[in-house]
Amino acid sequence: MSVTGFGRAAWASFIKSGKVAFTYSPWIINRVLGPFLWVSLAVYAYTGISTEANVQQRFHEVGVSGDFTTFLILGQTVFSFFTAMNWRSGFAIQRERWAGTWELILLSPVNRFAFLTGEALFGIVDSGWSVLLAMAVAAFAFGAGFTLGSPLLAFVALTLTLLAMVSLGFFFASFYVLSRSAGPLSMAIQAPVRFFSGTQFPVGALPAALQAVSYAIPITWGLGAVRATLTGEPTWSDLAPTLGLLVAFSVVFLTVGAILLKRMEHRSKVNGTVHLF
Amino acid sequence: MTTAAFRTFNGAFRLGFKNTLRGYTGTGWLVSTLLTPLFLVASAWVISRLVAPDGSPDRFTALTGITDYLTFVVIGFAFNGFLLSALDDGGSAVYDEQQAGTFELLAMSPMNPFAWMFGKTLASQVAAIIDLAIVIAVGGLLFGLQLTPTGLAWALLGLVLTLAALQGVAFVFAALGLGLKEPHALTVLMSPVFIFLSGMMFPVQALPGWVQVFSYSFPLTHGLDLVRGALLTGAGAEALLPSVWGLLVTGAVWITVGWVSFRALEKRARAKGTLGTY
Amino acid sequence: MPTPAIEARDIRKEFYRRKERGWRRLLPGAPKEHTVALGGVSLTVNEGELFGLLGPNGAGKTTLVKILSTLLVPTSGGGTVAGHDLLKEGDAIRKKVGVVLGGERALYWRLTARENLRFFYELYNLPRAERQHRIDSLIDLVGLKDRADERVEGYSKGMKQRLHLARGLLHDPEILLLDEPSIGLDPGAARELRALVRGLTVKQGKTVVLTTHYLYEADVLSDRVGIISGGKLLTVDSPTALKARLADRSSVRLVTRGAPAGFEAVLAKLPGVTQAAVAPEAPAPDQQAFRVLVGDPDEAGRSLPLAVANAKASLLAMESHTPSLEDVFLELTGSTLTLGGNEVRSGEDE
Repeated sequence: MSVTGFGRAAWASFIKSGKVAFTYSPWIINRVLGPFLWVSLAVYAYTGISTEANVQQRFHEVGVSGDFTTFLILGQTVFSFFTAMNWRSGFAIQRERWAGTWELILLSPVNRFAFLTGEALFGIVDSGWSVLLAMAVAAFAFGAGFTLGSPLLAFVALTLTLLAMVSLGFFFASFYVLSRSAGPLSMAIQAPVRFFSGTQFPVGALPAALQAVSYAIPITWGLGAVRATLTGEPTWSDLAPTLGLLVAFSVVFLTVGAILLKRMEHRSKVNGTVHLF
Repeated sequence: MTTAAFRTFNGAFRLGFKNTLRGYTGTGWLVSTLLTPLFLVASAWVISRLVAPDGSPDRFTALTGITDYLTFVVIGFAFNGFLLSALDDGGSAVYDEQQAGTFELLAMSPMNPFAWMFGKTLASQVAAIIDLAIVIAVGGLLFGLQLTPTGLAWALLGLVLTLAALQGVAFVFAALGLGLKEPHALTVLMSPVFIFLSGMMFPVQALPGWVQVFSYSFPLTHGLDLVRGALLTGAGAEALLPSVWGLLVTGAVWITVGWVSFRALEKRARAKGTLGTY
Repeated sequence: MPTPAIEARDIRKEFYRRKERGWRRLLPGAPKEHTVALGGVSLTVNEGELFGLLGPNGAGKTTLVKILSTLLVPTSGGGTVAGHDLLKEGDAIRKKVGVVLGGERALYWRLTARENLRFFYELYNLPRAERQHRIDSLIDLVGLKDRADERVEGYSKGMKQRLHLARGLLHDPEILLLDEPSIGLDPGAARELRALVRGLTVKQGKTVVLTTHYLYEADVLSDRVGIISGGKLLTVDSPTALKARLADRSSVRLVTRGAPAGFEAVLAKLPGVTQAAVAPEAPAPDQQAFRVLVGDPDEAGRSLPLAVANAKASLLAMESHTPSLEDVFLELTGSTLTLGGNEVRSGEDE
């Protein structure tokens, strides 16, 4: 497929997803309020059981510089992007199967990744505005502060983190194609990712053996980079290894995801399960 | 309950229970059912160790008089399955039937709709006892959960009354699902709200006073108070009866509100011809 | 010799499904169910032809269509579609074949017809400059002009089916595969759809393969009909030629009351009778209907009432008519097509 064709298909998928999504008005309310609610829960999980001074001190002891509420707000923000990617691009094929349109998409000459790219782009835009809104409101509500040393570096860190999450979504999409438990699997993945990625607490608070698992997840690195750029003033060379790792993760997951998706599609055509959900 | 209504309840309960249990045998559900509680409890364990290496967070102990935060939270998480069942399965009670194309058939039959709703929502609640068992098992086997066995009878009473009271929540969400045609959006939105208000992860007393008014209008808050009081402190009848009354009153209110709104929205759907659309 | 539009060579499709559900499926030795959906089907479809694939539910029609459309991979066998290898040139085939699987789903309900078509137009990477005109023409062709900007969720079944057809024609394919396009439609809507389909071959020269279990549809629409049952292609010929094979036979419809179970086997052995089967549409619940192919009308005229009397049943009706495709099917398989009450006997839509 040509670049133009890829772009057209991705754009069509983006527009289609947008039009369908905005016909469901309760979801719009959800997007406005949901991220803020989860951020509040994350903060109260600490302040409800301990004094702020104690929590702040304990965070500092495990290597977190800056305000713990900012730490938690950013953690929940980035994790919200992950769940959006998981449900949007990871779950895209399953959604089409529910609608009965997946067969039609397979019958067209469209590149499957073009279709998923459009879904992912919509997921970023759709979750982006609500997550950033939540971040701003939560920062105001909980008195959290941000330090923006280099806007460009922050933008790059966030972009590469999103790219890593999109690639992870594509990787999972292939498993969801074959499975008839796509919904539960999507949910099942969120719990361990939330636990290991440093969303709710610093990775340093985990036992050393478990920290190795944390650092195998791209979101951990992405979250670290985003936190660094929004709470401190890191330089490009400080973050270069992390950013490079995010690019590497993305390349690996996209490549493996593409191979798996092709294989899973073939397998579903052999087994006759394309239309099943 | 009349014979006809009981048969409707029984039929809806058996079908709902069978469908829910069948879901648990799916690979994805099995993985999700095992992983989610494990990491929920593990997160609470990490957080508690982070803020209080001795396991007794300062503010928590000051507010509740309880030193074992982890067991407090595990009990909260054990009821998470009931909350999600009430919201999700209650909210989807009508939606799933509409998707399957069977809601119109049910609406055309002479069945007692209250009995049908009650059977359907109770079925998923009872199946959620599996989630409770898994959370307790994870807490006990991996994280040193400590419960007072002398309070078991009161805890069981709390469990039963909470299940009954949460039916009202399920009815409300079923009504909203019928009216708004997109119940999952509501479930996803209200789930953190109720987790927040019910004291699942932290004591309700940590919330501002005006927020606590909303907390105590929710049945689960009273249920958790009752069960925690029984199992963590070995409290007696005098301390626990207010929670029992709280469950009965809030349950009655939610059931009434849920039932009235469900009937009203059903009537509206009949008038507009949208019983089958979703 | 011109290349056929479709050539299927000994296509076989087998399915293995685990009987157990959930995690039990993963246990070693979990039993599998083996189904042969297609047992070696070979056929050719010529360019510009309207080929009807007729068979009962579960015969393998949809399986074959899905294989030809590249949606399903055959267990063995192969062929060509639009001159491209079925197994190796899937992308090329998808550009030249339009598929209409139909049904209530397979459309974005929350979008309008126009938005649905626009989405698929982009997926096919068709010329941008022609998009508006193409979509408008197709909406016109299928008669959805007045409702094109309403959400599909409000459409009737017939309207959805017509939108499916429009979507299948978006990229102006050489070959159109239609899977039971008129199923569930009322007679008027079905008639309109058939006229549309006929126009595609007559006016536009497209090759159409249409699967159906409606006799009338296969009979009046198809240039040639392939009869498929139990995963096997039993015969292929024009409807006229197929019926002509039974020129020396008559078809008799018997209606009885009180006939015992398995009575059709008794009828089949009678002098003058070549085949007999239960007909699916008995007039009343306490009655039975049979379809009997008769080689010797005089002999059968005597033996049939006698057999009914011997079985201590009542003969309520005995009608004779010229053989139809149903009788061809009966001759080939020994059973009737189960038509779900939609059988048409008179040659007109009911």
